[in-house]
Amino acid sequence: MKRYVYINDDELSQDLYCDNRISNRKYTLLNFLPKNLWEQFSRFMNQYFLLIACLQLWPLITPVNPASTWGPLIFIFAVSATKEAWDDYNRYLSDKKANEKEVWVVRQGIKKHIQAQDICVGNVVWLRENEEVPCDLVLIGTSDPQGVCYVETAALDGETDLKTRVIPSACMGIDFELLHKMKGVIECPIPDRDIRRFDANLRLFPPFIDNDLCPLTIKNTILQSCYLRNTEWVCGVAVYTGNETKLGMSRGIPEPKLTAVDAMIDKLTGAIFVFQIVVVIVLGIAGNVWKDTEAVKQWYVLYPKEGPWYELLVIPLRFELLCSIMIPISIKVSLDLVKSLYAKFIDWDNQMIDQETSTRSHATNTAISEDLGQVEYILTDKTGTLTENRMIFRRCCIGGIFYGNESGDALKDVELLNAVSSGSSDVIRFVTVMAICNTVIPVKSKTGAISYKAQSQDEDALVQAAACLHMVFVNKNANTLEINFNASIIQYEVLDTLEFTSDRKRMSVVVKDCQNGKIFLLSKGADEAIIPYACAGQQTRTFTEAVDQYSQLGLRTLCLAWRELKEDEYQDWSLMFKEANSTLVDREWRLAEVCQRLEHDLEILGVTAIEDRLQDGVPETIETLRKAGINFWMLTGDKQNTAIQIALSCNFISPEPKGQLLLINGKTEDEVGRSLDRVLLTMRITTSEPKDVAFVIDGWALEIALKHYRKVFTELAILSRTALCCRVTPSQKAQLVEILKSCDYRTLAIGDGGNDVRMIQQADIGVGISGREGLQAARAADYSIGKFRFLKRLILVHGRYSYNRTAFLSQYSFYKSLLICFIQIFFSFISGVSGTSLFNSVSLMAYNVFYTSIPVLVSVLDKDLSEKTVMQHPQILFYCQAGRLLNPSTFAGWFGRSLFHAIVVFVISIHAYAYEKSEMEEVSMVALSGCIWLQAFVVTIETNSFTVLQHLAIWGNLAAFYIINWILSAVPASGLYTIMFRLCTQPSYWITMFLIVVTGMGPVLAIKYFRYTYRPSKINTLQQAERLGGPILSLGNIEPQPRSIEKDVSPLSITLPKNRNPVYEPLLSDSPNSTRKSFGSSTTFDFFPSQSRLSSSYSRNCKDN
Amino acid sequence: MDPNGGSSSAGAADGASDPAAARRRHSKKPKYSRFTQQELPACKPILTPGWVISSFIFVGIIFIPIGLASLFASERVVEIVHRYDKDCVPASYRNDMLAYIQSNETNKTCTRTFLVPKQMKSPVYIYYQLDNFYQNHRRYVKSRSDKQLRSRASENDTSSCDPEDVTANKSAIVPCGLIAWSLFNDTYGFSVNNTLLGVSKKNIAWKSDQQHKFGSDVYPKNFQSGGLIGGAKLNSSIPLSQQVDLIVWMRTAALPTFRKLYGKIEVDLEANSELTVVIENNYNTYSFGGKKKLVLSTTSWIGGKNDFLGIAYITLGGLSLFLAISFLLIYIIKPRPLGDPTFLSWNRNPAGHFN
Repeated sequence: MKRYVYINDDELSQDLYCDNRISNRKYTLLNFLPKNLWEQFSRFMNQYFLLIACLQLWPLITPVNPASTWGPLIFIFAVSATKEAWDDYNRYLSDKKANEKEVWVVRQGIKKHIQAQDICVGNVVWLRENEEVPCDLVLIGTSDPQGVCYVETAALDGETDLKTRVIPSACMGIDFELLHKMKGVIECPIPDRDIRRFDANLRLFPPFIDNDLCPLTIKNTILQSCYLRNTEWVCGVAVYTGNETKLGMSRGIPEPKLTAVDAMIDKLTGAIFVFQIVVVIVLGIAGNVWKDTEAVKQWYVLYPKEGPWYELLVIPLRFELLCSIMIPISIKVSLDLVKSLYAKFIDWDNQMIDQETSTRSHATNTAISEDLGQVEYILTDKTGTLTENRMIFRRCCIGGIFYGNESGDALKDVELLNAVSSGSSDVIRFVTVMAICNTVIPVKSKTGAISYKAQSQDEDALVQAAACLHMVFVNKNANTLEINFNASIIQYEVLDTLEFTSDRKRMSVVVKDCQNGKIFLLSKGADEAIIPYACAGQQTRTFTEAVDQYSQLGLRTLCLAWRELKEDEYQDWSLMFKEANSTLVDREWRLAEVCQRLEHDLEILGVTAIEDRLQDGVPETIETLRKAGINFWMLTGDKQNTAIQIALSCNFISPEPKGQLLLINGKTEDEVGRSLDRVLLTMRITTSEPKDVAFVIDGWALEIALKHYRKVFTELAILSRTALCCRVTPSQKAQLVEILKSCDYRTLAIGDGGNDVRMIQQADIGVGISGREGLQAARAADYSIGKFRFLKRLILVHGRYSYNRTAFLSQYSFYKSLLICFIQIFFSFISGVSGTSLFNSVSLMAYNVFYTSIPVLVSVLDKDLSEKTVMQHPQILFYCQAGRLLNPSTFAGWFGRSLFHAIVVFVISIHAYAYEKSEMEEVSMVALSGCIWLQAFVVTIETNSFTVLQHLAIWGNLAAFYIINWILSAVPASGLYTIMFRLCTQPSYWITMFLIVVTGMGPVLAIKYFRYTYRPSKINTLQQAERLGGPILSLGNIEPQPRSIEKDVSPLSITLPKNRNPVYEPLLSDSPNSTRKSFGSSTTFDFFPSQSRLSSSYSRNCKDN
Repeated sequence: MDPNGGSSSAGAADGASDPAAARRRHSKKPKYSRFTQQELPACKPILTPGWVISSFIFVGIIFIPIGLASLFASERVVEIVHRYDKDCVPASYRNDMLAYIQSNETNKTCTRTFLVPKQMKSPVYIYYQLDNFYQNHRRYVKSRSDKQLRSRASENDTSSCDPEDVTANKSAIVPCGLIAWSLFNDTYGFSVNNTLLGVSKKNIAWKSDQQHKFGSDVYPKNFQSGGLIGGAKLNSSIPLSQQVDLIVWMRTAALPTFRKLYGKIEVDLEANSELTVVIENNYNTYSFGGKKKLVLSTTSWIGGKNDFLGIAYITLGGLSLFLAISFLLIYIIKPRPLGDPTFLSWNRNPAGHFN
């Protein structure tokens, strides 16, 4: 499928494609009500409530006024509909603003000022500096004589650096005036969402000379929502418009995520529903039996002899309506409300502001804060997440000589400086490659200082380092590079750029030395993408060693190489390259193939080592969270040794005797299988030991393991608390998340770059770090934080509190609904099982919506333990992880409590108000006020910390109950007229209330006290320790451990290069040696170690082959 | 009421002492407040033994006197309960009491005599007590029209009164509904030592009901005129607001055993004086085995005679004292330091494998 865009042809494409109207709206004015209602009623709870409400319209069976259900139902629907409408209205406003923005467009050969929404495909659009791009454009002209313009793509991919875009070669040099009249056709693919790819062709019509097919890439486009910078004007042809732009296509509403707590609440709701049905059936049968045996004798009820056909159903349905309050209608609203407040607390948290960039943490998804407290696995990216992604050039190895090993900084290494100044040819070439083999743009400020705009942090580091070594990259003018070396200007002409892709793992440039006309290929890339292509005869051993040594220090390595090209070789290749560049299908693959033809027989110049420093507080954060029982997996695209070193330095894995690393490797199915089995065996043995066992797997073996040994790998995943996955692709990251999720683990994925997006979206919770790799991950994530260390606070403080609060709130909601429902059920036994409601409609409605909701809403402020205590004892998170505060057994406790309280209220009310006082309205109000009093005290006893707001809500609510009822009692028309005044003047009413409270709360208090003191949970113990002001000592106090790679690993670097094994022994023990030691005495385990030893030696042999 | 609403005030109050005032320069950052940082000053009580034990002792100390006082008040109330439903049926009808009560020919008058056990200070309240009578039955309790009772204009508002809503020729019954229709119609005449006692019906109905719930312009109409006669008939020349027996009856009871005020005796009854009651035994409780009792009772600050509250209070007070003492004993015998960090399993097992 292709799209042909005719430039400046007003008739042709106008109706073919959509206009540039952007619409993010979900609803229109007309379909809002039906669509919104449909959406709301697709939820089971709402269907249930609607059914109940409809049943209540039948006066024969309704125990109360239908308003008692319709009122709250409509209220709840109105609230969520209003929220939706407001969101949609805001979307409409922002759309409108974008749609009505004025832009310059050529129409009938004349430049016109029109609204952005009227742009059609094929129109030529003119933009000025700092304007936003209204739709996807193919550039045809810029103010820059070289045809270059700069755009900021932050809104698209979050990357804040300036990107260069060039006009297609065919449009080069077309006169400014002629751009109006340009005609041509662009052949481009149908709209897709890939913002890194645009494989198209351009053919200009006469009189524009260039009648060739001109290839277009993403470099020739500027996409919607980007900003034009540093360029006076550009003009381009609209190719995709409206919702068909790259940005528009990638917009989408993500699937809502359901938290474990929500799932549990749904389960409990289901259980209550079943219970309710049972109650209804039992009472229904009892009611019909009573009617047939007793009620017929009671002449005053005047039952007709023959009832209608539905007679048998009437009583069960009445009970269904009476019991419908068992499932609290307010729970969803309350939960939504508190959840958005949890999210706000995260947004507001001053301790989670990244002071450097002053970015706040942000909860994009407001509904899943509880899940943060239940995380079991954290899958983390390395670069930019654990590390700062601030690259610093540290060491290098040029032609076999190591620089920077002593001082730890090659730029201060006197030998290197000397080598540069003495003009050693190897070193000069090396530095030249560092300076120009890249896509960096130098920007000269007015003061003359040069800053670099680089897409990759590594390139930035290399160019900066080269500048320090007197090779200053000063200017880039279209195809000409200028380098200032020792005060002399050297110019190179860039002939071609062979771009970096994650498959090729290298990039090259072909440059022509302007002085002598020689053509060079300069390459840099990962060692395995460069060293195998070394020219025959070159000793690569030292480079391999250098790479290994550096990666063990946790440094990122790049190999630099070059080759001189013959003129004709280049010309031949250049043709192929151009052809490959203009293919529409599989262009990337074709290009890679062509590049391969040039990138061989390289002369390797050396290895650079770049340090990516750990972020502040990473080791402590990981240690704390591991203590909290969270398992960590590191998924990185980096190589194994680098990953292991970083893992070591950030407490991810423990060094030998405490920790053990098991390697899973192999190139074939069999090898991987054996390796997996062996590791699994070791894991099973060591699970009983207090030892940190971790496995390491690389992308290749992972691919095989996922494909052929999914089951075994899954088992391994369950056993392993730690894992390092190196060289993994974004989709593999997502697959790993999927595996853990399939084992019912709560996973949290944290990352910062575009390659983490899939993992972040896949995981139960996605956390994005708004870092240097752009905001892409942060946008896709549920939470975005500025630094990795905030994760600790996010989980331990916000996650934990959210879980605790929701656990209380949801169970309490059921408690209070069950309480009043049980009273109704008991009352039915003394009212002839006829389904009379003890409470009047107003009370029932207000009970759920006002009287009992407000006190519990302030439980969002409750803190069982102070933040400090939680941070010191992260192990306490276990209660949340294991769901100790909300599960069927805690729920059973609440269920029992509501049953007990219902009995207390009911028995006391009917006995205290017996005989001459047994007036319906009075007994009803006595029972209701008993419930209100009890629930106030229940909230009180379950609250751990009282702020002013809590006191206000709990006691204010109690007062409000009386005030509301006094007001009702003053209205002559209400059924409650004078009732409350009568009751409040009776001493027996207050005595009864007092009795209800003490009888209801006494046992609760006694049991709670007993458990608190003699069977304390860990939370209780910590509460006691905290409140009594004693020392809250934990033996495992976490003191801040300032670490850096330098300090810890430096000593290793001197000893290591000499005696290196293929596997780094102290860490990676292939066989469970140390395990065997501890099991030495027991013979039963003998079988396993010997077998595993066998297999390990076998696998080693394989590797040597 | 709304946590957000409350917050703004709290935030503003705390804003002054804000240590991070400097940070506010940043326009991006919202104002620091203790609410947003979840740092509102909070009191965090814990269940210390002292606190719990003393609160139980406190409850015990408070409850027992209240219980005693209630019990004392209840004991002071003199109450005569006399069941007459069986005894007022002549011996010849004992086997078929239903026929006796439903027959129009039988003599329903019955005279009962009993002694006043203690002196009863005026006013002495006269109640009738019905047992096993479900005034709270759904079909019964809903069968009334408050609008009709309140005003003459809504005389025809009888939709909720089924099955006693309209007469055979479709004219509205006032008052309609089963409750009014089944109005209690036994009457009592009292004499002490052969002197007739006046029964005052003054203020036996709630004033609020007379003034606002039962209209002074609503007169009974078509009442008890159908084929099926329920209970008492009403004098159709007296407006509903003056029909105190009806008003009392219309205040439905929540329990199947209930007492309703019949009248008051405005003189003291001396101990051991002989009280004679002439009962018109009209009301049918025989079909469903309900009991009818005549109750004479004085009153106290706690109401009528009801030992429940007193006994409950004393029991509860005793129980809490008992609990307090047992907690105290346990605390003394087996003291347990609160918040001992050695209880934390991860402190015992430093490896951090926490189960």
